[in-house]
Amino acid sequence: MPANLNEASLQAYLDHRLGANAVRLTELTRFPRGVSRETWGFTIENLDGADRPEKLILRRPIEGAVYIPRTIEWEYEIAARLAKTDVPVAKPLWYEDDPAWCFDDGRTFFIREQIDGHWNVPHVVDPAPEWDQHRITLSKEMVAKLGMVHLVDWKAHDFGAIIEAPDSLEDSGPRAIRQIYRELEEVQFEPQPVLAEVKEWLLDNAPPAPRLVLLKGTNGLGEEVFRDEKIVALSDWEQCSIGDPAQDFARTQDLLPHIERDGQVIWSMRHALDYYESLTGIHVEETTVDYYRLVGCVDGAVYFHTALQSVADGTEPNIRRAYLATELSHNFLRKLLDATYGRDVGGEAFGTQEVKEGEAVVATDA
Amino acid sequence: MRPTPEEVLNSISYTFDELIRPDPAGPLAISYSLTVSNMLRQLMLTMKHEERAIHEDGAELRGVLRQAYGWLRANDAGGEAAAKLGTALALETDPVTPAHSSRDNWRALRGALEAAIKRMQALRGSHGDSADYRAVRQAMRDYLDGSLDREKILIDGAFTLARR
Repeated sequence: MPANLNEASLQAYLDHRLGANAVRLTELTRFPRGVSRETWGFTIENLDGADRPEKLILRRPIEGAVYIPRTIEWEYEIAARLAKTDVPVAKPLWYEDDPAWCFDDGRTFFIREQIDGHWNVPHVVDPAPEWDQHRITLSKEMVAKLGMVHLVDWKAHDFGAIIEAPDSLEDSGPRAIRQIYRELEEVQFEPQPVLAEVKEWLLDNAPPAPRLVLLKGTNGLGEEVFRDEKIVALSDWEQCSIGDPAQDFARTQDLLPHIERDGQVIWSMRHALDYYESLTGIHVEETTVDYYRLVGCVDGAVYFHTALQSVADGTEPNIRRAYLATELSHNFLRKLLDATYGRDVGGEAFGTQEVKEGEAVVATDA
Repeated sequence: MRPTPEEVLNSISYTFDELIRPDPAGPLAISYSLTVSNMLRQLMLTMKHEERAIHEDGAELRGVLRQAYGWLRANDAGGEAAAKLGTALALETDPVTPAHSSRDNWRALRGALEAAIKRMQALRGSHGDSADYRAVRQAMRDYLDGSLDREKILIDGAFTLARR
């Protein structure tokens, strides 16, 4: 029976893995954020004089987490490939699946280095004019880092071995949609006629991608490690995929602000996309970003439906999971129908932020 | 209409026992209390309006499904969607447990609608130009639009506090 994860059991594991008396564990803390993954930070002292990083992370799935189709091993494989590119990521060290050493209920985990920094940046959503330049600088930083990810030669780094790539530029949108609906089929326990209806429209209106690129998935505030106005590590790769670069812009949280002063728009999605094009040579249409926001709404609705499963079967009837299926689910379905019926749905005012809010609401750490 | 009132009550009970009672003055408990408060109001709205909402929604839905059933029997005889529609349309309310029965039947009707939408989408290539086909699809879309509007009565007025 594996031990519970605590300082004593982790020290015993490190002795097993690295050799007796190789390191001494000095601190272990569970980070409060996260919906699908648990992140534990710990520090070690290298007693054997080896050149190991002393601040490390143990990452594993959360027990009873809302359905996430990707395994922790898959996430480790993504990180291992990224570590061989120019993209700033925390270096993964090893993956553990030995049942004798997987803590608690036997969840596998991986260990990576810990990067100094913080997920939050002061004033990043502050609308006061004195923070405009700060917010634009941060936005450009996010755009530049997305550009780095998008320019990774995913074929040369063998991402295609673990991520199903679209067959063509035209297949990018349909592939993303089919993937979400496959996930829905796996978890569906209640009729979803609205999602069935909008699928046809989404397939009919999928724009071709300008290029097939490596995508980060959810990105922006809460997903990366910042130091001052710099992103020192791109984190949380569990929704990494290959497809249209617009998809990442549709999933950026808080770092693509619309700023207007004295009747002049000084920063917007269009500015960000122009800046991105100047860095990467890839032109992304704003309408394509809007399209992928709708795809994100389908993704969110599926996520909320999944969250309701444990309420319906009584395995973990957390009230927040029930909540997701009421207000947030209703809003998402309304926006999807409005968009497919040709009504105005408010551009960047919907999508990723609400998915994020949904995830935050269901997170046990509040 | 999910979660059902029973599911919401069970969630509130679980949340009190497991997440609020152990440390009622802690930030986690206070945060969960906000969600519980909002969901109690949502529950009251559901108890007040659900029966009527299901009745009205079900009536419109049955009309749309009868239209779809007719079209599918004429153009996709022997198909699974038509059979599912036929079964759902034949359901009757159990007089002993009318509220539960109405909810279950409504769910079966929605399942039949989903099957019909998928089947008619699959037949668009061969029938998409037909006026009858387009009329049934439009009726389905109008129903979905109206149904979401009706659902709003269970949402508006419930979520008056911060969600967490």
